[in-house]
Amino acid sequence: MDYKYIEQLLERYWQCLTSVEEEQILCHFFSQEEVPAHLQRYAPLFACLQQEKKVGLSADFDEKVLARVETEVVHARRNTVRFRLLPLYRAAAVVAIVLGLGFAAQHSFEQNSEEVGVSYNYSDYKDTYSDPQVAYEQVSSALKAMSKGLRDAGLKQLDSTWVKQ
Amino acid sequence: MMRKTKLTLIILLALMTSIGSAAKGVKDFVSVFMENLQQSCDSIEVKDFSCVTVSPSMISQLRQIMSAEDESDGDVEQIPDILTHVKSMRIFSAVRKPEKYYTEAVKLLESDKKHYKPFAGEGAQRKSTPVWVRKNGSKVVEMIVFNRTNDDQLHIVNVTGDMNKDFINLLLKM
Repeated sequence: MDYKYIEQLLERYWQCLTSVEEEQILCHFFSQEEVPAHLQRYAPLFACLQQEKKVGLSADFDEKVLARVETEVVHARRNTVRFRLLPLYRAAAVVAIVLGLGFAAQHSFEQNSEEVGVSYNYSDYKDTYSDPQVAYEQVSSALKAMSKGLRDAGLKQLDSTWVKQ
Repeated sequence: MMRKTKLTLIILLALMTSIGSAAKGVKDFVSVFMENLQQSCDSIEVKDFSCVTVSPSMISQLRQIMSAEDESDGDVEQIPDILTHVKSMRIFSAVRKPEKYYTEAVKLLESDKKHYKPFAGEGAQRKSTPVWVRKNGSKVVEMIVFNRTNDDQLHIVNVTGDMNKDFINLLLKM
């Protein structure tokens, strides 16, 4: 059998001059069981080529690539009126608290004829005399002085209406 | 955002604490008077006056001691009952320049008319009354009585407590 044509195709193949059809001829030739001995050494090459042709892209290749390439779509949240006014509500709450505290302070310090909640800071009181006997003498004379002062103020025995003065 | 919230809360807390602490701890008249005198120390000598303080705990002690003792003196009999209406007492005494300190004290009282009112009996002159009171609602919680002694000393007796009519009537009996 004359394999000159195959040898010519091989020469053209090494020079990268073969067309696709000529390469197919070579692949088909070397895929046969009976290959001449002097051409056996080229058989694995064309078998590999045949193998490579079988490798291709899967049906879902496009989907996979697009899934990786495409950016995630983020749907914008709709800002409701309530959401937009939230900072304003917070500010209003702070102002309300401050004003409330201010009014409470003003009320507690408000000076009118009838005070409510007068409470003396007795923790500041430090006894001048630690001896009760000495303290008693001071208290006794002070109370007598008070008695005199009340009489000088024109006070006599009081009834329950005296506080209204 | 958290930092701003924390800062706001801290400020509010500080505000509330200061208001709370300021709302409590009212000072009696003689305390305020003494503070004013200390501040204007240029024209006033410390030796001119003195102040005796009798704290609530000492008053309580005296009450117990007096209740336990058996005295026949009429004045002493009333003192334990009087002390049941008394929380504390301060006695300001001016041994020199009594007129000056009297004027200063009355001036201070008149500048605080919303707290302190002159108190006098029916028909008596309120302007020159030696008695001033401070009320809490319908209660008299503080009483200031001016007293001039024979040796020209000024005593200002400042009492806090619950000065009701029983207290006054007991004092008048002394």
